[in-house]
Amino acid sequence: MSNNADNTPNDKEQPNSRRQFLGWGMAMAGLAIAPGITLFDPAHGRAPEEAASSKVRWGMLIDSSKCATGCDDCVSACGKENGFSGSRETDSQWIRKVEIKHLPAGHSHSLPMMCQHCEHPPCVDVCPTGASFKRDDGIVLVDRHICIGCRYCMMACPYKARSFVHEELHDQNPDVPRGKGCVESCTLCVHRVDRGGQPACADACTAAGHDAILFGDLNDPSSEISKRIATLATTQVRADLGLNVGVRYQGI
Amino acid sequence: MVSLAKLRVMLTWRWGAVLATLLAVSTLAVASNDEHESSGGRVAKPVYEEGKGDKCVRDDAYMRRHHMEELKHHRNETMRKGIRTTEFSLQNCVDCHANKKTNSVLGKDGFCQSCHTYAAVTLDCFECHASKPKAATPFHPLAGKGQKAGGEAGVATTMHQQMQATPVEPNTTGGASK
Amino acid sequence: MNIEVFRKFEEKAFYALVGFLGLVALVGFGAAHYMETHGHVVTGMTNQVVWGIPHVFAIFLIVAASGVLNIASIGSVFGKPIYKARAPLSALLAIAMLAGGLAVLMLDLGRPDRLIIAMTYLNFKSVFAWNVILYTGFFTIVAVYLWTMMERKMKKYTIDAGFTAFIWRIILTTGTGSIFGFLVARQAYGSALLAPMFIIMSFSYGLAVFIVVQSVMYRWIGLTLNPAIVRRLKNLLATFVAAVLYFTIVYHITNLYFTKQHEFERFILLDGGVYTNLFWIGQIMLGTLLPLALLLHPTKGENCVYVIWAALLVIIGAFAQLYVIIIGGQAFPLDLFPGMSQSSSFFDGVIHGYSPTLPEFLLGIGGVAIALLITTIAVRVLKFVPHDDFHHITPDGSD
Repeated sequence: MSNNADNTPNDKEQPNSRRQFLGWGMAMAGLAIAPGITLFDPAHGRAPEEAASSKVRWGMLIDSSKCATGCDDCVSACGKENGFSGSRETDSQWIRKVEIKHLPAGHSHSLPMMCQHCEHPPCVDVCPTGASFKRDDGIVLVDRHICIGCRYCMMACPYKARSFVHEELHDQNPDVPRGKGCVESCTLCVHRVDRGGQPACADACTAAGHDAILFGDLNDPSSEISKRIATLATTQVRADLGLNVGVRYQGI
Repeated sequence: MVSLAKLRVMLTWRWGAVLATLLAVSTLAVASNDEHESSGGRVAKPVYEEGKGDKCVRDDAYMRRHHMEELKHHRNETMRKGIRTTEFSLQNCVDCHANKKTNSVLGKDGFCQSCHTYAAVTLDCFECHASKPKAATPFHPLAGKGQKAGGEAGVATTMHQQMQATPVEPNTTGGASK
Repeated sequence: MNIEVFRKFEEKAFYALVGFLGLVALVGFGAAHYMETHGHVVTGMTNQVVWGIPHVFAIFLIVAASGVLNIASIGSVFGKPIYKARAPLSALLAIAMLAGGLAVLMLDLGRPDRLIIAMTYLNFKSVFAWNVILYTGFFTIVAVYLWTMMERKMKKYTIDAGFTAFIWRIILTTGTGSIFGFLVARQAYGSALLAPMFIIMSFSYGLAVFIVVQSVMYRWIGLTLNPAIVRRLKNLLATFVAAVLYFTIVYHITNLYFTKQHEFERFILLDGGVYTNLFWIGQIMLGTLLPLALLLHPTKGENCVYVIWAALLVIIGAFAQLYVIIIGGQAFPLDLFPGMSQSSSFFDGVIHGYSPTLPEFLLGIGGVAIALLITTIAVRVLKFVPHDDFHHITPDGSD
């Protein structure tokens, strides 16, 4: 998809000043998105006919110290991208902000929690039809063609990441098919990732300037995320379960 | 109780006669239906509208017979391996085949729906998949009036500003109860 | 009344019962259809409590189904005559209850139209997938077992069939308990104790159901059960109820020993509201202590009526126990950040509420109706009433 945010008019008038304008416009646009690019790993786009491979392992690093209580840019972006909203008990929430507080009376902060894309996902183990599966590049997905809606994966998930669609849905995003009676969870915006993008939450957080969510290839030692994980202290939530999750946190 | 021998006799003659009558009546009923077939009949014929592209990914006869196998195979390729060639993507099918007036493959004149209704085959793809093409320009000036009129508001309202110019489309899939 | 009048009345009563049970089952199907077309939003199940009343009913029926086969196993595998006489009825109840339980489970799925997929795409790492094979195999094996018992020429294979059925149902109930035992995520589950506990629960529930059904059958026909047989069955039920109590005590005492489980135990045993009440009053008092008192009482225990009441109380206690295990286990929030308090828009860190709605109850009761319907019709058509050969039984019940 094109990155041109500026709507340059197309009528033929003074070509030279037009070209100059274009040049300045591009420079400004480049400056505007430059900060975002440093958080986005290049060498991303995979050809459409190429299958996902285990050479890549997608993951995220979330810096909880940059995450403000009350900010839910990532949550709204996810809802907008995937087509859901609401916080009734039966509403889907693929990502949510969790406010945590060290007890007793200690430091409190917030962080976003979503499917952790484990290396050994309990949800994949328990799914009777194999609808819950892990793709070669580490993204854990639900194949909604064969999901029977038994909700066993929801019982098994240690992060309460999964949601069940309790009602008939309409006007789904064509990139994100979802329907009644199936279980779903964060897909790491696989439809964007496959086309060289990054998840909507990471985009939104970066665009808003918080820079709390870093997305990248954990298997690539030269990627920003790998470098940070190698140098900084990061943790996995419920690390004692030994699931080796793809989403890590700083500052918990 | 009646003796077994008498029972056997009764069954052969009486019930045989009843069965024969039933068969005759039903055959006549079915036969008489054929005369009405060509002039409309009870079920609407499928609406076949030319798609937007120059041609379909495979020829008509093949697609009529095998499109489900193609879809099933390619959905697994996309789902499990992330292969997203546009040639066999469902979005691509919907893009081309969406009805020019209703912008959908469902509904009375929908490409998929009308044929499936005629053939009485359940069509449940569009319970999950969007039945309308993705909007080409995300920054269309009419964006902002995106809430779908009618239908279910509430939980599943999309925030995608794509439905700007499309009329209300009844969300009828292959069987109302689905 | 003379025998002809009795027969006519009994026939009317039979059709009335079948009609009633059929109606209840139909209403259950209607409830399932309603849930399927409108989605689970019409139930009380949410993203927090994903398994509800239908699952309580279904798991009761499935667990009791494998347990009721015990009677037949004791007859065939261990060769006790009064149990042998009861073996066909016990096998029939096993099939009927399993059918009812599975019907409820399958109709509650988010996509019941995909049942064929559930049977053709199997992920063998999942206990659920194994259960698909175990449950369908159970039907076949018990049907064969029944056949060896009812067909004169096949009687010599009864012991082998009975043994196979016995082993199979042990594996099946282990599978059912492991549905919960294999879940590492939640504090209520993830324990190796759950599989054997479910086996013992199945013994208790199955025998209680058998006693109730057998008594109803006898009363319907106008027979009375020999006191010696009553004594054996009630002592067995008392043993099983005590065993379930043992497992419950071990489960909770072990949890109380782990400090990290204290919050959860406090929730179940002290301040969990409905769950605490169901545990102490439903499971312990009504489901364990009161039946034990009745069954082990020197004079009341010999009285058939009190034994039936004890069995009914055990069944009530069973529902309470399953409600606490299944729903109580989900109501308690997951501990993602030990040592910290958590809150979010997705109900982290708070007790999850659950208010069951009518369709859920109707579906569950429909499953019970299916089981009873199968039993009623089968008992009418074939020889399931236990015929005791009293030469083999001494007055005090030993043989």
